[in-house]
Amino acid sequence: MKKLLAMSAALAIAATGFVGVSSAQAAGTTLTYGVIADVTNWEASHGEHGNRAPLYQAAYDELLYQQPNGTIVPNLALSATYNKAQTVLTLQLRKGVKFSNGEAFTSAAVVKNLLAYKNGDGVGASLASSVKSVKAKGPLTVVITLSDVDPAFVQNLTGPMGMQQAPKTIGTAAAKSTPVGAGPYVMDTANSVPGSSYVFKSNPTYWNKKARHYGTVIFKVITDNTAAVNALKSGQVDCINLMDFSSIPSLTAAGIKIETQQLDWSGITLVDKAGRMGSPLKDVRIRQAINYALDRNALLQIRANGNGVPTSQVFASYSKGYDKSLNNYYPYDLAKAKQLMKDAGYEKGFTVSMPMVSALGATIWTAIKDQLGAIGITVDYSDVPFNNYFTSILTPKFPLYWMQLERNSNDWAFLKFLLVRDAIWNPSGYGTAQSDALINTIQHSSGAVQVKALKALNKYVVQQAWFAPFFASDMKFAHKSSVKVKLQGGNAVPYLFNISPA
Amino acid sequence: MLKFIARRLGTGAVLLFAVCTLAYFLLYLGSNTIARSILGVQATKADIARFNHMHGLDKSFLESYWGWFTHAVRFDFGSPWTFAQPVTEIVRMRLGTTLILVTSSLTIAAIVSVILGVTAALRGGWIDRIVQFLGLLGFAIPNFLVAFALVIVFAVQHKVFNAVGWTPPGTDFGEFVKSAALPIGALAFTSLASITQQIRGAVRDSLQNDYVRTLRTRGLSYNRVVFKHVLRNAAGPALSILGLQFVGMLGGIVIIEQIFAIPGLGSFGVLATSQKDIPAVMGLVTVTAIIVIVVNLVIDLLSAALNPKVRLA
Repeated sequence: MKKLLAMSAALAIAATGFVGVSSAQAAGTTLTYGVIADVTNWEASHGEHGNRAPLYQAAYDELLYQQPNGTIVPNLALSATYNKAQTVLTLQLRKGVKFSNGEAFTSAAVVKNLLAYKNGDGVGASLASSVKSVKAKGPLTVVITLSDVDPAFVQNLTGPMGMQQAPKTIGTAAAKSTPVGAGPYVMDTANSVPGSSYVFKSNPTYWNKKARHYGTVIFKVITDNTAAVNALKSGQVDCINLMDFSSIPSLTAAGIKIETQQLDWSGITLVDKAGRMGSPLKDVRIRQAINYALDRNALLQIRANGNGVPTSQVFASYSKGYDKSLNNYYPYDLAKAKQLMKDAGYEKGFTVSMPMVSALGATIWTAIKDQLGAIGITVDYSDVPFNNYFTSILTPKFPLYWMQLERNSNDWAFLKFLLVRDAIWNPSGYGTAQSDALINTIQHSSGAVQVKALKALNKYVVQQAWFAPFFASDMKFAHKSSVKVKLQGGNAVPYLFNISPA
Repeated sequence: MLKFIARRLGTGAVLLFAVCTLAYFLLYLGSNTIARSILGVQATKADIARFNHMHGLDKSFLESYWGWFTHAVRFDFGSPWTFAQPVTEIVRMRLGTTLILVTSSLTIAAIVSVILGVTAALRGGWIDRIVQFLGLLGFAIPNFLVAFALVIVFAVQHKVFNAVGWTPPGTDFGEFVKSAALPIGALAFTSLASITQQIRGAVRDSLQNDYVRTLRTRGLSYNRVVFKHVLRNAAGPALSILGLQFVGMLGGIVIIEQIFAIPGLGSFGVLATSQKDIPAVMGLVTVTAIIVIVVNLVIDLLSAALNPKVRLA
């Protein structure tokens, strides 16, 4: 008996998620996409999310596709079905697809790609760590066995882990600089200048021509914000992610449109919740007092010039666990903060050590010190070299730290990153019976049950003040009015198919 | 002459070894955080351990340096950790781009400087004052400000040239000119100042010499005296300043390449250093040091060829 994930029903339907233009309409058009990060290795096993995602998407199609609103639809795979235990995933592949070098897209290609991703040295290789085995069962069926239930796995197939490279090119030196996939475009190496611009022409054998909005895509690598602004204003690029927001007034005056999304969160992680370092943070009232003592609007101005949204939660608005009502769970209230300190027996306050990086400027550290000082918490900073900041946090050497951390549209990946006991950014390995139970439910459920558990976990984490978030910081994508843009929830830039002629 | 060249090359080799060893040591000191920097905040401890092992970051300094050195002497700088191509290929491609910018800028600056410097020295008066004022501007205004001004006027407002990007001359010469004009203009403008002043001063000094009066009394025309004798004597200091400008530009071109998004050695240096890509940085350091040593040697030889009084010590 097979247990279907809620999304499998949608996945079994032929791809209906793409709204594109006819090949004829797209043929003569060119999109010049400014990118702020160059590709370091074009192999699919080195594919990345974030700013580099559209470059890889030009050459490689993924097994599944995630639309801007988060819905997962079929792509090179027509369906993804779990067994009852959710440890064996069967993919049915699309028939008749060819790679741009003429090779056929088959189950053998998927097996080779997934193993190359898992065993390679790409930044995302650990995403495939739950893969125990992957086998071809017939020419268009792949069976993936997982070592444990991995709720992130199917969504990961919409990203670099699902990208399909022509099998004969996997592991070759040429593939590092020239991608060969079954994607919408083929790199025009004669007209590309590595490190500067990559020209992609339409792949004549592409199976999904309707989804393609442009005949040619040119990626221009621009790592300096002033250069990016000049490129936009001079018309050399149609769109680009902004690294600095001070130029926005001049851009909007020039008719450039700006799309905004909150990606990362900035705030304090309260590490010593178990009290093993001897700090008072073991008491939830102290942690809540810290939250009430924060003037989030002021911190947003100081750190990000107002470019963000104050918040008390770490879950992002595009997460299923997000609860808008938690944004202002801890309003700025010094009286309440002091009362909590008094109730916890720390009316006179205490001293706590915290790492600081002076290279990041003094204002944020001063603000934290002042705001916690207002309720009697004296922050004793240790100036740590920038290179050692991560090490000092993750060891862990300090009971709390300030950091700007990414969030993820893949909820399980986000939990594994920040909240589970062995999460990379849960350095003290903290958890409670309640959080463990909720995380276990999230891991082994789906649909409405999973969403309910995610929201419950979010609320629990906020109520127990595991963190003292300041704000969710803005990401801003600038584009000419001649292009239409849909942001991709949780990604720094829109996916390639999210940009179309206006 | 051969002895001089051999001695200079020997000294250069020692200098190169010292520079590379020091650079590698400094990079190695910060190597415990390289994996995290490259792999990002989402990397697990297992990811970091695997990266360190794969790239020899778990070895001792001597073991690691020896491994690099024995390959580097064969000009094999290995594969960088954050770029697609081998280091030698990246350096070759980007060196070509940077050399086009630097040599073009210096050539234009040299030609214009000779015209301005000689004219100012010979004519004096208001021409000399204008040239000196322009020289002052060139010293005062940094090249990136000149670059910004050129971009705003000629790329953003009037769209005559490109604001960003690079097209190699062999791909499309028209596009090459559009992509190279503004960065070359910015570099040339700021070099003009020092070269012009040097030529002006050297020509004026040469004109004061007795041999000029002697040649004139012998019946040689003024122009012949200036262009055949005075300029030759003034060339030495000008060549020295050109050499210094060349070396200075190699370092200073970083900002220009960033502003114009040009994939040259400068921008490669910024990327490699910020990403702590040791093979990439070491390849760059080695090549740059070799260029500096060779350029200095060539300048010395040219100076000696132009002026026999210059002794090759």
